[in-house]
Amino acid sequence: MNELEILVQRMLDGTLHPTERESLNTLLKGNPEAQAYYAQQCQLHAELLMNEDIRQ
Amino acid sequence: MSKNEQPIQFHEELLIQLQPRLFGYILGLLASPTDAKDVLQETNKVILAKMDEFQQPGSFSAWAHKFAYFQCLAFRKKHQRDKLEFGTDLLEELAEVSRPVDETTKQNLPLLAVCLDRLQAKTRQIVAAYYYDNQSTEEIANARDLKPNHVAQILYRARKALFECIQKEAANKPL
Repeated sequence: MNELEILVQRMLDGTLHPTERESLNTLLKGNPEAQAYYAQQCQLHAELLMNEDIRQ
Repeated sequence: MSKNEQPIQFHEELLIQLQPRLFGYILGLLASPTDAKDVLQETNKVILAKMDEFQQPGSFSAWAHKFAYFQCLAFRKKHQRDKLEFGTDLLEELAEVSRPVDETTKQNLPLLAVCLDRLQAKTRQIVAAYYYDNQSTEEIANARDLKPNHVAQILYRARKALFECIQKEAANKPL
């Protein structure tokens, strides 16, 4: 896992520390590729969490 | 039933369907699941109060996302002093990147169900415990004699596999 992947995972888990939050901000700023990855992970996480239609 | 009742009921139904997408969007803008849950509730309240202002023909989703964005801005303003919120530039960049991602997610939802089916049984059980039973990585780890870090890794790999599977299936799907 690279740094961005670790930070996103921790953010989704709700276990991101303030210093890590700062690193996440820095990694995302002005980086469209990282932002797209981040947005995709947030959406996927939200669908898994809240969309009852996809549950088996 | 009066003339206006049916559309409002219809839009309330749309709002319910939109919950995962609004949550994903707000989560991305706030980078905190707890804050995102609160702001989603606030957003829903505002949307419900303004439901009769929605003008057809227009995208209800786009209309609702605007309220979500403004609620994120309001939240950020309120908490800026004591929290490490994203700066204005980054928030705007993320809001712009998130909308097309959100539309693609909607289109690919049926593929997500297909791809969930393809996960290994053990991984699928952990995904279900985490997402459907709301167990923490620690609880999942304790029940299976694993380390919480290992569970976090499994979840990370599961999301990665799901994402790649969706991309692949979407590319193969006939237009």
